[in-house]
Amino acid sequence: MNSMAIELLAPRYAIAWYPWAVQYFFLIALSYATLWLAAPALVFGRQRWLPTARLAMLACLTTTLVAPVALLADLHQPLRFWHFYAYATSSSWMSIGSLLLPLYVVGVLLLAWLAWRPALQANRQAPGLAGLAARLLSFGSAPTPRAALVLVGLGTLALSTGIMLYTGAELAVVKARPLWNTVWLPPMLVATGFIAAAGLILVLNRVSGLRDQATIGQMLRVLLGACLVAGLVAGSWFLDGINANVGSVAAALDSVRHSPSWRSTALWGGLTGVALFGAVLYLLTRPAARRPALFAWAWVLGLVAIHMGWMFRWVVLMDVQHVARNSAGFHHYGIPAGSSGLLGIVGTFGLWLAAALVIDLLIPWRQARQGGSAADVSLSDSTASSDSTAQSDAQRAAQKIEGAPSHG
Amino acid sequence: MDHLRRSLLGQLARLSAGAALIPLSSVASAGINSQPPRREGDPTKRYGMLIDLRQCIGCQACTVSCHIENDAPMGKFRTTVSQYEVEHQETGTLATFMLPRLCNHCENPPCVPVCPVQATYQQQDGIVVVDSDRCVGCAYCVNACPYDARFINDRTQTADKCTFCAHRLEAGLLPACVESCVGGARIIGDMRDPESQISRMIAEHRDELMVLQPEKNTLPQVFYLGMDERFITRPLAEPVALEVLDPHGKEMGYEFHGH
Amino acid sequence: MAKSPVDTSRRRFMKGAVAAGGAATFVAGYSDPLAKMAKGVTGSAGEKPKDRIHGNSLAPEYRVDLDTGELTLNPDQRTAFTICYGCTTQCGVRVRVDNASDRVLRVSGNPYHPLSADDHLPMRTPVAEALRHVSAYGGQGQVNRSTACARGNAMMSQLESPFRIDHCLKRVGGRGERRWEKISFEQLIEEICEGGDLFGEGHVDGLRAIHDHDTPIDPENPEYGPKANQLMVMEATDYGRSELLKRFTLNAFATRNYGHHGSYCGLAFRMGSGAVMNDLGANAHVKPDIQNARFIMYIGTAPSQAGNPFKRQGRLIAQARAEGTLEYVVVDPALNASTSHAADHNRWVPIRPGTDSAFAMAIIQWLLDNEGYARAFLELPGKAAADAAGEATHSNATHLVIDTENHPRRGRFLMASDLGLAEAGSDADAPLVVVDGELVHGEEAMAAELFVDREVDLADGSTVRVKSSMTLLRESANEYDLATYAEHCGIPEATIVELAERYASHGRRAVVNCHGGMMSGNGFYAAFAVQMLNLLAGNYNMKGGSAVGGGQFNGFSQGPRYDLVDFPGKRGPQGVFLSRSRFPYERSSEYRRKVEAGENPYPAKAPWRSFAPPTLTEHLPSALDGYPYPIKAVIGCMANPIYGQAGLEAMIADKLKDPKRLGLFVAVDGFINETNRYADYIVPDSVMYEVWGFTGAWKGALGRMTTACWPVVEPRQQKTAEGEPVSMDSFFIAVAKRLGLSGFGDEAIPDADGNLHPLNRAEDYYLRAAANIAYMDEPLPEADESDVAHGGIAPLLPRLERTLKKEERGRVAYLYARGGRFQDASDHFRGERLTNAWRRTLCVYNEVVGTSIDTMSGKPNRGVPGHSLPLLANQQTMREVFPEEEWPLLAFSFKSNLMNSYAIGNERLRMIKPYNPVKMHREDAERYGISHGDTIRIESPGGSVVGLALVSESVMPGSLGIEHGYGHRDLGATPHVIDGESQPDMPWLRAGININDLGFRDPTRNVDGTWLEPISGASVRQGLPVRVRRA
Ligand SMILES: Nc1nc2c(c(=O)[nH]1)N[C@H]1C(S)=C(S)[C@@H](COP(=O)(O)OP(=O)(O)OC[C@H]3O[C@@H](n4cnc5c(=O)[nH]c(N)nc54)[C@H](O)[C@@H]3O)O[C@H]1N2
Ligand SMILES: Nc1nc2c(c(=O)[nH]1)N[C@H]1C(S)=C(S)[C@@H](COP(=O)(O)OP(=O)(O)OC[C@H]3O[C@@H](n4cnc5c(=O)[nH]c(N)nc54)[C@H](O)[C@@H]3O)O[C@H]1N2
Ligand code: SF4
Ligand code: SF4
Ligand code: SF4
Ligand code: SF4
Ligand code: SF4
Ligand SMILES: [Mo]
Repeated sequence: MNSMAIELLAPRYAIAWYPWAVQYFFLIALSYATLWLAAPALVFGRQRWLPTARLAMLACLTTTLVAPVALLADLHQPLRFWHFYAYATSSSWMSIGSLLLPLYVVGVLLLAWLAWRPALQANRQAPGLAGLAARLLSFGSAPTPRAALVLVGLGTLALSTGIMLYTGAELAVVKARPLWNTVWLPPMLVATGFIAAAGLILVLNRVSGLRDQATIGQMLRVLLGACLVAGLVAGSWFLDGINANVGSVAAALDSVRHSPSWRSTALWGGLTGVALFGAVLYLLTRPAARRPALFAWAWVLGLVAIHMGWMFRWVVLMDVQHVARNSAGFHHYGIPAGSSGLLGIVGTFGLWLAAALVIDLLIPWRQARQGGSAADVSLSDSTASSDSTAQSDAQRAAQKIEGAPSHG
Repeated sequence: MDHLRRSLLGQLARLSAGAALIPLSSVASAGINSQPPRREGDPTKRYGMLIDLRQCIGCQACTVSCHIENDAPMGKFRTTVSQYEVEHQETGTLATFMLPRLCNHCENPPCVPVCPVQATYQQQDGIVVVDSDRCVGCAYCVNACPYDARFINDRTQTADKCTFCAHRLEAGLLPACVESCVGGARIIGDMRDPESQISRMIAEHRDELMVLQPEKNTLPQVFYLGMDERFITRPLAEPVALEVLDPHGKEMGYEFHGH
Repeated sequence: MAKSPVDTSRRRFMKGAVAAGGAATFVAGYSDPLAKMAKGVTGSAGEKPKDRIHGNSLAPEYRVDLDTGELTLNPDQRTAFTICYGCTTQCGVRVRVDNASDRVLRVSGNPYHPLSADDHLPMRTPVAEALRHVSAYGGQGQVNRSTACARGNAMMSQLESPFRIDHCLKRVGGRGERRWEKISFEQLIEEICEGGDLFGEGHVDGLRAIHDHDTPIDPENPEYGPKANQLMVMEATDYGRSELLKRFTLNAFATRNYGHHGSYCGLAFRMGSGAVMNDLGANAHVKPDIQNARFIMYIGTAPSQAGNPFKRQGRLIAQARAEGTLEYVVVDPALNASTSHAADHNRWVPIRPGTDSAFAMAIIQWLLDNEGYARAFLELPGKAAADAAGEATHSNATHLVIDTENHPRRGRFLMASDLGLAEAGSDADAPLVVVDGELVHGEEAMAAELFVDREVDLADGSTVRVKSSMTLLRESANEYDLATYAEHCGIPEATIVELAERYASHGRRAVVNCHGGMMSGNGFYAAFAVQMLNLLAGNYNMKGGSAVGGGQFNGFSQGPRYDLVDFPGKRGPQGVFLSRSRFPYERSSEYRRKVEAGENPYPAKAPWRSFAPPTLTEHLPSALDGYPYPIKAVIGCMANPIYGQAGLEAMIADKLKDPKRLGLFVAVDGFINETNRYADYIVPDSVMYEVWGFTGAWKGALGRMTTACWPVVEPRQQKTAEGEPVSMDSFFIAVAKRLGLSGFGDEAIPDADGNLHPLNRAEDYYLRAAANIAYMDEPLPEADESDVAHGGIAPLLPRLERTLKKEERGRVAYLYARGGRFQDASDHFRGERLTNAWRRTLCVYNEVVGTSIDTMSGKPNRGVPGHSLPLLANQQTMREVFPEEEWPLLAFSFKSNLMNSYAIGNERLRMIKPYNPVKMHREDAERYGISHGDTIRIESPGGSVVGLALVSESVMPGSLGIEHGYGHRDLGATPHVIDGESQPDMPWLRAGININDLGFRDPTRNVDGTWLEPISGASVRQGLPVRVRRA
């Protein structure tokens, strides 16, 4: 036994942030990372990224909409959210975040609207709700200047870095939790955010039926890069702290040493990371001919990537709160089944799913453009069922992938 | 290494205790992680507490009287007393170690600057309080306090913590935990008044006093006498057995855990 | 792969459905936040506290201006002084009450009270001044605090406990089925007094029928006494009301059989102490004067963990640690809160349970061998010498004991009359001692020889061998060598020697103290031996030594105002106790018959204990087994032997359920506990703070003191037809009046002039006792208006007016406004000596013990302490019957510093410590493959329980420590059904284990009995043989 004492009596401390926080951190990371994955096509005009961008924009908008809902739930006084604005506090990253977040959300909304507007305009004649939505949302038939899209895109990208910064800093400044209190945590959150975002797009690519090969290739590369960055960050974090007696690494080692559940989490996280990296590398280095067959399974890696991104946040936000600060050992909590636990987690995903499907039903996101007007959107595309559109889009994309680089 | 680390911390614990005795300029400049200006409270006073561990008998009178006085929810504590069985570093004999804890009313309280709405703030008398009308219940401060001194009160849905029983101090009375301290271990008082009991004891025991988690630079204003430096940070101990078994050996869970 | 439009619309529908499902999950998942938002519309998602900063903290009871000291009371509250019943310490406390709701808000200490305050305030202090004294004004409050402990704070929830009984109950169905109906108080009294077919189970004798002083219980054994003895009354501890209960039991109804919890509390210790203090009647005991002692050995008692007085000892030991004035060791099988890692000069010495006689005799041996005793004091042969030396008393160390077997005076002291030098029993008769080789009258010598062993010719012509008490002690101590003692108790020889040296080196400021740890199979002799150490140090009555305390201002006396002892028609009980105590077996008819039949009269059918007090441990089981005689009714007041006595439940539960063995079982209690669960009727009693009474300090307070309590809040239970709360008092008054017993009713209490006053309600009795107290010695002054206001006694005034004479009221008010009467602290010492001294001859050899006979073996008992192994009733050692191979571990229990035996219903205590893990040594754990935190099964010859292993080195190897206070089956742990309605089910009240479930029936007995210490009949709870395995 390596302890010097036996603890006979110590209170049980509850966690302060519930799984809602994980949901927020996860969704907001997906939001900013997908924004960046949409950007090459939408903002910087890289035509080859357009299929990816369409998926990414869908992912971005939906996660952006749902994330604040989860955040609000983590407040014990949700209706007092206005206090954030009445008593803004420059010393608090959370306060800073509360100012950034609405701007960012508006930015994403604008961007999505700009990206989708031509398609909406084209869809105004559609029957049913989709047509109604198109009529309501397209705001006239004036073309959407690309400059607007670029401008809004750049602005939102800038805001998103603010989000990255604040969400990371909010945790990293907390000295009380040595495991958070490291400069390496924010970049790690970003890197794992990109891993999850790439994963999400791979999955969306599959479930939307788009199955765009280019997207798969791009996302695998993003995954590879993000994994590399994550690995580098983790490595630097570790080397940076290995010799320190206090601090994040020491606390992590302590936790891993003393808690079986931390040990298994560390092992699991490490193994999945390496496996993911290995698998992605494997796929990307296969001969071109074998790729389509293999790429068809990339969505599985996507799921693993999402899992990575989520788990990382779960460990960071939930498990870290279980490390006792004053007393010995770890507090073990079962996740409650109800609203503040499992049901809450499932509920946020439910909301996200609902949002995605409603958009899918009402908005012709598959025709998103880098600006322009209804005329740029092929009528057949807009009138055909989304599934057949998807099919043809995917086919086109599949053909393109081996072709010459586009003008982008 | 561990030993070294701990004795270094022990050194720090003592130094910081000393350093923190010169109350910092009370108007801290606002900025990231430095708190907004202090407000309210009596600027001529600086309250602090000294806990003479040699006199703590682990009776938990403080825990219960505080709980009643301040109407804390079941299972949540503004103050607690942990109990350990410890081996003496030199003699190897075993003895019991009691460690009362409460809010340290830190001179550099990390819980304050993080509050997004300045609901938690430091009074000019050093007491760190929460304005429950303003608190949004984000629990950021709960996570930011290294001492587990705060919690979310399930009934008010706002952050809750020790106030040094400011309502009693104002009335010229002693805080509940001090008033009922059976061993006479807890001493509260104005550290700006050199004649106060706490000031005199601090002067007398200056070199022996320690604070908790000095490395966090929070400058706690709860000082411990008779402290084992191995306990100033999270103790390396076999953790408390938290299972509650029914007569058949079935785990029953903890009656009072909220979430 | 083209889809048809139908397909498409179906897919759209599906998506819509999934979206709706997702949204629905969200709404469900978001229910908490949504609810908070809904609530938040009011401005807060939670309760809005009273103050934005102070939340719901209580409004201060008064304010003190820190500059002027001016004190202003909060008109919405009152603070009143009364007694805490959070444990038997019975501290004086200050209770804060909300005037509007009559609810108790919080409790703290009474600053006048020696058990609560650091330095208690003099009586003459105005109450306002006392309140100021505990404020922050001038920093006084924390220089001199007055506190209530955790239990003392938490216990106020007892008042409003959902398990509190507030109505008279009669059982429905069989005994113990936990079903009840509510009945009126008047019906209850009628049924209990008159009997009848009360439960459809056949005729039950009522108290009227039992109250028969003319018919013997058993004509064959006339010494058993009249039938009235077939009522047995038991109570737990003196709640301040025992005198009324005894008035009824012993002098009005006049049954022999009254018993309290002493025999399963600390009787073995008390008798060991009584043996040294020559007081086997009341079994006086002492406590160290901690403030002035220099070295204390706590052997089987744990200051700050338990001990009586809990708070005061804890505080004094804490202060002594900080001041560095005292060194102390705690000899205990387990480490507990009494030794502190934060301070030096205190340490834990592990000992094997049940082996204290070995440890203490080893120390005695060393002290005798090394002249480590107070020679000058011990050499004092009599009062004259003591007076000359300025001592309050002397010992019998030099007295000579006749040690010739079979001599009629074997075991007696050699007296002047033995040599024909005085008339036996006359004033001139005294023990002889040896001075310069000559036999001398003890009162004529100033010092005598300590060690004598010689022959003496008596006046009757016989020659006897006499040995001085010290010689007998030395012989006893030398029966084993140090190594054997050390091996037996598990304390290394070197440690024993070191402790003995230290003890000797501190002279008369070295003290020992023991208590619950003596409840072992050889507890009496262990305690006798431990207390002998105090005598050898000569520390009785010394500053820094053993203090007997000042006793009480006893109002239930033939006091200056009223005679509460005698009354017209008073009767004394006759006959043999059910426990066969204080009655020599040799005078029984049973003995005579056996002798007449030429049989060996030994063993008796069951133990008779000639000098033990009546013991509840024997009462109940013996009564149920009908030996010496059966009983017809039991009235139990607040007693819970089934929870508190090891092995009792398994042994008697079934018999207790049998109406043929026991016709009537009435319980008077605030709660339904493990024992009164089997009652036929429950009388709802007042709960702490609602009670009248007077208590003293057990010991540990140096001054004379009496704590007073009165209903500082209105009792919450049912009222009688006359409007009095139903309670123990009104119950006994009503029964006595219905049966027409004297001592109760209109003409019951004589005053000093011989006029009779009524006893119709509780206060008739208690307020008159208060008047006695107020007028004792120098009468108390009269309370002024300020005292009344600050002492919160306004509600009491009308009662004073209704009950007392005009001149008495102000003085009685003065007393209640201060929560009792307390000798000033300045009176505690006279120079190096304690003011309140013990004046009886201290016994190295106790003649009563030395001339008694063990009725199971027929052998005489030893009159000096000695070592033996834990014994069963037939004098076999426990290990002969329960060998180590089968039961390798010894279980013991220790009191929780938080819980007590009936505190489990207090959620504020449960939230701190919900459970009691079992302390087990690492070596044992390894031996049985058990790890820290494992669930283990513990089995004993009498039962089996499941607990959680707390593996450490802080318990003696080979032993198993169990914290007492958990493992309940009642007091809320199992719901009862009252009038068809179930009490709440709170499973957490069942948590943990009770070591008493591991107790067992002594297999060497013929009449059922649990394992009892042979001499005292005390319940053995330390050193129970057990085995463990992983569950
Ligand atoms: N906190 C608290 N305090 C109380 C009470 C309470 O319920 N709770 N109750 C009050 C009452 S009624 C009483 S009688 C007193 C009793 O007060 P104590 O006598 O102090 O308490 P116990 O727990 O009965 O026993 C004392 C110690 O004896 C140890 N012991 C057990 N077996 C042995 C043994 O064989 N040898 C030795 N040397 N030690 C042994 C136990 O581990 C325990 O620490 O406390 C009073 N004070
Ligand atoms: N194993 C083990 N056994 C022990 C002990 C131990 O340390 N270990 N300790 C022993 C000792 S020292 C003692 S003194 C005995 C104690 O044992 P007892 O004196 O028999 O019983 P208590 O459990 O104190 O029970 C008193 C009862 O009074 C009732 N009661 C409580 N509060 C109130 C009230 O305010 N008003 C009224 N009317 N009723 C109330 C409750 O029903 C409670 O059960 O236990 C002994 N048993
Ligand atoms: S102890 Fe915690 S809550 Fe108290 S002031 Fe310091 S950081 Fe804040
Ligand atoms: S919980 Fe309340 S006091 Fe704490 S940081 Fe959030 S708003 Fe501030
Ligand atoms: S000062 Fe008051 S609030 Fe703080 S721990 Fe003590 S009793 Fe509780
Ligand atoms: S009341 Fe005092 S002695 Fe008791 S546990 Fe608290 S600090 Fe220690
Ligand atoms: S020691 Fe505590 S529980 Fe016992 S009587 Fe005193 S205050 Fe009450
Ligand atoms: Mo007791």
